[in-house]
Amino acid sequence: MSAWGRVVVLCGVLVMSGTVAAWSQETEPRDRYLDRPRGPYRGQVIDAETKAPLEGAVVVALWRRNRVYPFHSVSENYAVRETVTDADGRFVLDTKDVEEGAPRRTYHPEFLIFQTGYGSFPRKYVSPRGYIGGLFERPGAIVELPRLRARDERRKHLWLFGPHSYSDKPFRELPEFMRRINAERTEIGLEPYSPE
Amino acid sequence: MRQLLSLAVLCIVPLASPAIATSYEVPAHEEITRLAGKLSTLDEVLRTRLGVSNGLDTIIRGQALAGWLAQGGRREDDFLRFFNHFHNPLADWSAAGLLGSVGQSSILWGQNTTLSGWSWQDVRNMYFDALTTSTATDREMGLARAFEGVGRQAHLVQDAASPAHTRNDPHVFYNYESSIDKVQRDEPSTFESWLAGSPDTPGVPDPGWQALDNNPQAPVATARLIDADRYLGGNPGATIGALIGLAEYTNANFFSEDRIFTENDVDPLKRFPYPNRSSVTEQDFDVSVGGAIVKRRYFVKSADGATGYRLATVGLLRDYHQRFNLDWTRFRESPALDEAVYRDYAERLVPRAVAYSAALLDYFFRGLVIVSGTDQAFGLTNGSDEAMDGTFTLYYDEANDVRRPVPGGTWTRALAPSGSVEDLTLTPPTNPPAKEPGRYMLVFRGVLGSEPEAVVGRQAFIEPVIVARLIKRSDGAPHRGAAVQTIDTQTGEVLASGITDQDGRARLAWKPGRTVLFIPSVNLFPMYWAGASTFSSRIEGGRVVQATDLDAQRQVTIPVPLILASWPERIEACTEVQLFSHVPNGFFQRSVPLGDDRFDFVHVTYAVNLITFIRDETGQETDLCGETSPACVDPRAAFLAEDANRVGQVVGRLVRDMRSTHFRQIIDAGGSPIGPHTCAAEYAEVEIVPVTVAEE
Repeated sequence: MSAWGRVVVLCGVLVMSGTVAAWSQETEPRDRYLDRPRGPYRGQVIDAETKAPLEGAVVVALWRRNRVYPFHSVSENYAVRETVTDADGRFVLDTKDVEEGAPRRTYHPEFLIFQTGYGSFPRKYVSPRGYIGGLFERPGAIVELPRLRARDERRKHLWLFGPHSYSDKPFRELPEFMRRINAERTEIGLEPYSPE
Repeated sequence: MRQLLSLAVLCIVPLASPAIATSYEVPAHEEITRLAGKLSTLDEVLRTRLGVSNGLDTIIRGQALAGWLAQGGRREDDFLRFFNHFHNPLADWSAAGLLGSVGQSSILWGQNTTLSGWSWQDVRNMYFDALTTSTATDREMGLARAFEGVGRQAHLVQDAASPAHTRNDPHVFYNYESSIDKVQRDEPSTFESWLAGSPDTPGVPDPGWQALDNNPQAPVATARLIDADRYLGGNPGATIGALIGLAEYTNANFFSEDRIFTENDVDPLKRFPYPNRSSVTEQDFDVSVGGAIVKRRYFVKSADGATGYRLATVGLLRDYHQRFNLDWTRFRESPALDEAVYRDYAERLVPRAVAYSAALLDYFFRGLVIVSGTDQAFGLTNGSDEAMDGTFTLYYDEANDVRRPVPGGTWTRALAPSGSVEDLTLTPPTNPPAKEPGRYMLVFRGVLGSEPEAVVGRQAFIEPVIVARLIKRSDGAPHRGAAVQTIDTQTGEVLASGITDQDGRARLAWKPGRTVLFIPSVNLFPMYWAGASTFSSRIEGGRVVQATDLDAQRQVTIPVPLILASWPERIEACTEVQLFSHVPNGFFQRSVPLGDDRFDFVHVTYAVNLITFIRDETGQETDLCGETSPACVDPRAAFLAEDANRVGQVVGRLVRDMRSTHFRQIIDAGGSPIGPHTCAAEYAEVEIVPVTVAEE
């Protein structure tokens, strides 16, 4: 076998063993990942100023997973769900199907709460501040969103997040979110997103 | 052999560290990039310089430009690319990548036109495509890709604010970046405060970084955002100076997980002089562990550059060997980086990642050209702080948004900062005409400062101007003081109005391919120029001014006739004056001396019941005056511009219902009659007389 051949074979063996090593070792704290289904997730969304419940706010939950490859790991979207708050501003997001089937190294879900004309959670909200891990696990939490009045403020707020961060096909997977994003864009004189 | 070694190292790396994590986690990169975009001038550049009215909100292929930018920050970590996201500022750039040569230095990677696919130069080309490609779809895609590209470039800068990426540390699972990711998801308000925080002095890169000598290995100045080659390993104080690369600051002032106090490490790939033992003091802090508050001892950075934060925990074995006075070289002290340390790091590094990213974005769009004047004389001014030496080309969009270079619209010039070139001229394109005449995209390609093949775009309005020169058709003399207007044939809008000067010239804005000339008052009837010396009464009949109508001085010369109306008048036999006149209530009087104090006195009165002009071709009637009219209107007022093309032709009839009295008498000097009157007659008739077009 030539020198190159030996190196290639060696590399193959090393890479395979590296892969096994990577998959078998777990050196970071477990609490980054879902250890069991944590949903359903609950909460209430209110106006930060008037404290009135916000009906019709969309709540998006995104699960990302850490996929480990021989040379590195990448974080990629695993699943996304949405729901809308009721007349009391409350929401319940049943995620059993997502979390029971979640692969290893699936992170706890990230939440986005958005309502037309308001700052969003967690990009521009009022409370609760500080540590909010597990915020929407039982019994849920109250989130206060601030009213955004100036057009420029609303415009720049939209720069801080985008539908494609949550889904490659947001109109299909997040229709309520897209409805509200487009309503926001239309209200401030911007072209709405078009379905894929 | 070297290739074999590199390959072997590549294979071993995953064993040494089960998975090389990706710098800041993807969501953090995305958010830092989004915020950098918000803080940068991108939105303003899009709206005010490139004519993209919705700025970062512009949707291309279903995603706003702000999203394309963020996508770049996210995707630069795609498979295997991360190998090239390391830069050791103390090594030669050719060996500054991960473990020296496993990956390429992030600086070189950012300018690697062969392998990266998203190098600075590649992104420049995407931007050039966004400005110049023929179809609107391709231009949009070019802009989206350019934004993704600068997002990827910003990602490389952000990695220079991650200690492991500057200290040759293929770090393992849980690390600084993992910690940031966790804070981002569990304590978004804390993460927001880092993003919004002011970097410690000087934090925001001093603009002088753009002017530092370039390194031929990566000549684009953005390399200096990462490594200014000012921290050389022995001068950590320089890293808090005005001009410093982000990797230098990070390398000299922070630890990564496997590079803690490695100033004496035998492995040169792991050996970093700072921070070292002289850079720290020890201090106890209260920390929360499992809900309880406990004391934990930390190394606090107290010298050698940035100071005032926890650098690492003090290992337990340190107390042990100090207490028993053991040979410290026999025991590993095992200081570590805990959550509190990571937070102290993030407070200082994340704001810098944002600020340096924003600086990079601004740098990409830094070029500025100011265009002023009309197409008959316009100037280009270099509004940048750097010299421009290259080609300036004007492009225009057809009605279907196909973009074309303007014929003759390319100039190669060298302009110093604030320098300008004047008196450029341009023939506005008419075949095909522009969708929006006068609207151009000026694209510079060339050397901007020290950057070769830079690209600068600027939407410009260069007002198209023509000179209308009116001369009298009869003798060629200039028509002075005549009003002329340019009219947009598509909207009917008056584009410009002017009065001819001594030479009969008026300079007027126009829209090539959709402009006619209107001459409202040289004659008593308005005229649209219809080509040569013909005219039309309707805008549709006017000639759309063509480039071929213009002479070398960009003027169109129009011979304009002065039109008269002519019709026959009879002479009354006795008084020998005009039988009727277009004077509603007038008289004529004449005394001719005959000698011997006698005079031949004539007195005529005129009256009009009604005079009407009737056009032959249409039968249209125009009343010129009536019994009570103060005066009669000239029949030319009822002419049409087409009548100017019919000199010598009868165009209508006057129907005249008129009266007159004619009286003739010899009188003396006192006005008394001498003998009987010569004649006295009254006339009242309705007659029809032809009206002929005449020219003065």
